[in-house]
Amino acid sequence: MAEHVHQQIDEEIRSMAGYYMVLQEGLLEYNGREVLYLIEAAAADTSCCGGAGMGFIMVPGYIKSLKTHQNEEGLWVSDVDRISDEDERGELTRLLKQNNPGFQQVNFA
Amino acid sequence: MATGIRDKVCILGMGCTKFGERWDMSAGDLMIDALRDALEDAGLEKKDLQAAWLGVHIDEVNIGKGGTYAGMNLHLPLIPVTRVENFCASGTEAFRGAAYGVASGAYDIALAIGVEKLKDTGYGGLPDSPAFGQEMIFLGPNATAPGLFAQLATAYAAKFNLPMERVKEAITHVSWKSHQNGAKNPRAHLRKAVSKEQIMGSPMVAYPLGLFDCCGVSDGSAAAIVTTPEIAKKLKPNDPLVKAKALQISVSSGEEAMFDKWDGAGVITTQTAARRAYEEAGIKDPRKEISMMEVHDCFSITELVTMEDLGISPPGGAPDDVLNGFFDLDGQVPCQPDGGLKCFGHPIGASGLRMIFEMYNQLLGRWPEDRAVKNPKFGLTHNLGGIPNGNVASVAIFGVD
Amino acid sequence: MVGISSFGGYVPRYRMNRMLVFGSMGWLNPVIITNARGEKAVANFDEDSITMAVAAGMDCLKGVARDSIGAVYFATSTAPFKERQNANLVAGALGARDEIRSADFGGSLKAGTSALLSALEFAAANEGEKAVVCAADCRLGKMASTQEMVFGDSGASVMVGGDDVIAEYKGSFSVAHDFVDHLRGANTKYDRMWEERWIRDVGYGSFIPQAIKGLCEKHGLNPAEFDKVVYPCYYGGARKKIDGMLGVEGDKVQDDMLATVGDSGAAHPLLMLSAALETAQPGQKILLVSYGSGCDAMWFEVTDNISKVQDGRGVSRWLARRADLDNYQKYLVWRGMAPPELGIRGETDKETRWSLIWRDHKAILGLVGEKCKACGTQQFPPRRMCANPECGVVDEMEPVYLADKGGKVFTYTGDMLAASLSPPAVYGTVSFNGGGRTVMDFTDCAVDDLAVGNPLDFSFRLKFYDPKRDITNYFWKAIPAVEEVK
Repeated sequence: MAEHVHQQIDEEIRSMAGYYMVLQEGLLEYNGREVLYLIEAAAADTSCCGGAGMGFIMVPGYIKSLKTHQNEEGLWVSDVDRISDEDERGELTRLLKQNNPGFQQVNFA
Repeated sequence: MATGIRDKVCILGMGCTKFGERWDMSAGDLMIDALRDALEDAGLEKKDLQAAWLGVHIDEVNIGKGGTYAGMNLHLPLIPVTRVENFCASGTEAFRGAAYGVASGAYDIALAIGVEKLKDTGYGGLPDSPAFGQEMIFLGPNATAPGLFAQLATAYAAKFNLPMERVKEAITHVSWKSHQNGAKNPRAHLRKAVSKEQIMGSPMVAYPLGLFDCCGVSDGSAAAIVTTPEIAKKLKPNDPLVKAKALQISVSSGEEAMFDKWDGAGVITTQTAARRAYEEAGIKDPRKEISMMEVHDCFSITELVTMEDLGISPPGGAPDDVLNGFFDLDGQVPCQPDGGLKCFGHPIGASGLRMIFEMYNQLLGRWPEDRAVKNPKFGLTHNLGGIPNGNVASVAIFGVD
Repeated sequence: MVGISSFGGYVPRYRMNRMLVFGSMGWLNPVIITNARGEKAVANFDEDSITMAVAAGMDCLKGVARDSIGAVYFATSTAPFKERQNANLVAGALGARDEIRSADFGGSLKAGTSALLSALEFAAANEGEKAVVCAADCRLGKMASTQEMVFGDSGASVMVGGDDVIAEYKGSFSVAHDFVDHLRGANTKYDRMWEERWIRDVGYGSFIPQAIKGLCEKHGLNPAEFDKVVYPCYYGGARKKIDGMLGVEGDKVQDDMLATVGDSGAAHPLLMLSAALETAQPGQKILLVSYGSGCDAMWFEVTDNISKVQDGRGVSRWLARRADLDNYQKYLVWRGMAPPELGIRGETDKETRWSLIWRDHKAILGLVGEKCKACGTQQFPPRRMCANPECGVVDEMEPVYLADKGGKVFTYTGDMLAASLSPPAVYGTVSFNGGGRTVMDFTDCAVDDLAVGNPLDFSFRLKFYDPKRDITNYFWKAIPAVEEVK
């Protein structure tokens, strides 16, 4: 089991190379459980070879308990089960890409 | 018989501008600020400068070629101004030129100034240029720096039989630690600390490097004024003096690119320059004797392998050291106490001098407690320019005694 | 006797389901549903007629000593250069020597067989010499056109000579007709066609029988005695009629691969021939007919040597290696049919310096590296000085053709920042089999397909295009080694 910290929607998380942000959170029914996924956007607008960016989907895992408490920064925290099985990852990648055309990257925490 | 540079050069004063997207400043404007601060710190006037070395890598939009831009923008008094360029070691090369100038006895006071203004191209990132010659446009890959340095990761993981997750864990800590430090630094471009969750949640940019494993472009300038220890003692009789203990540069021989021996998991030039630098400085056990480091963290994977290339971590031991906090600000050998390229960005000609600026001020105990290294003896700076299989590495060591 | 001594094929990895085209463009021209079965092979963004011709040639020349080639003919209706011998690029990539005959054949879809006939005549007139024919096409139809539905991209290659003949050349009969069913002018990008029923009835329907009849009369043959009848014709009705006229059916009729590749122009008859030779038996008679501005008809008799070259070369393994091109706009951008925003970086002038390129042309075209005579170290790119730090001698090198040697992955990455028409850009360090290494682009793979140590082949590809001066530049890329089909 692991903890997922829910970042603020539409807030730039900035690195020296660029930023990314969460556009939307979603829940997908799969395998009789709910999978938490984040629709995100990134722009490498200050990187050394910059100008690129991407839409990507992050999958923290299966929801165990959604938004159990807030951390010191006031952000909600959920308990999740990480998804490590290759076949599950493959199938979820396929489903998420199908439902979200244009998103090239699906990453698993 | 040559005896190296140890204890033959003193830094009298240094200046460093705030790094960032300095839309309002030209390269000349930035240099004016860096020079003014360096002269003030040294207690000298412009007319005291006898020779200058200008470090610039890629800015042809502002600076063009030759040394005239510096001479004319800073209104230097008709002194020699030599433009030097050696990829990311350009700033260190400027320092090296000035150091040899005074160590040779040819000059009493010399200036090393580095600058890069990268925000006038109209697009993000470094300007397009055949940095490796036109032949490479045919024979080389359609690549970027992140992708080429990312190659270190697959080689390192293969060499030490590590799952890529372990490498990612270590490089996440590397970035996290630098952002913690940079948040406290008023000169840094990026001053926001980030959590490890935020770093790990970032998208993949060049496998396995994510958005937080890469540095970025920035504008900035830094300067150093150097002299011999004898002259420095006369000018500043009551102050501790920072001396250069070693200045080493190593350029690739072509072996990594074309011969089969190199394992791809570290940088041969860094290893070579480090070995020679320790010898020059009389350091026998770098892990114990080096107090702090500013290394070339253009990419977090580079910093990771550099810990081993510099002989601080044993082969395969860098991930453990990193995750144990060995290189954190309160660790055994703080690395990137100012936040590094991760927080300052990389105005190429200035970076080497910015690193020296950090070591210099730390050695003189000038920083507030929240970002000071305790009782430092030797500070090491490291630059790496080019690509892992064809590059220039510089290792410089400074000390105060 | 002269005849075919080897063959090869190449089908690009990406396949676009025709229903995807219909789904994207059917709103404009709904009749294209009538051609929407199966999938078409689409050249990758870094492929063109020259690169596919090379790929087929490499397949054909597996195990062949390159010095034995005396002529290289390249056939296409989509050549990238009007003046710069396209065949010389193919010859260089295949590792042929400099003292050879080279020629481009073009202007029609029968250019492939015309090149084959000329090659056979060359072989007959030059004892001991082999001739290689490489044909490829990358034709375009406008959006929502029949041509867009039907066309596919491929390459095919045939080697001929007097030795090790696997299919003896027995004779030919040609007709030339200025029958303008399809047309492209000197500067026209897209195919324009006349009424299909006229093309079917008068073109295919009368010229192919005319050529076959002429051949049979000349050689005293009965069309029904052919074991394999190979000709391109995507009109099912016309094909039925022609087969009926010939008295052939079932297995004798070579599959035209419309549903798996599409009609690939000048390459197509030779692509079908390669497929036929993959399963041909000794003693079989093969009839080959092309179509386009007339017809070349010719026939071959398979020899006992055929089993020696039924080792996986040909079309099948390329057909098996496939990936879905599931995005119609990608196809449009790759084929230069739609203008993508490439940013200010896309404006960078990529001038080509010919005197520099000439010094390097063997390395660029043939991936020719070198071996040090003093210490035996293989290295790339070729330089005067040995890269072995223990050696370092100057001017003791002998050239080594590396394009067919293969290698292994040493390091790799998938880069979202590099400007690419198919992001992420995949590249890494390749260790050559036999020694030496270089950093190269990888293509026809995703990052997930790679691991350190994986075997790699080399593939000749478009490196970059200079739009200001209309120059396509080429170099080799690494691809995951392709499985043999046994």
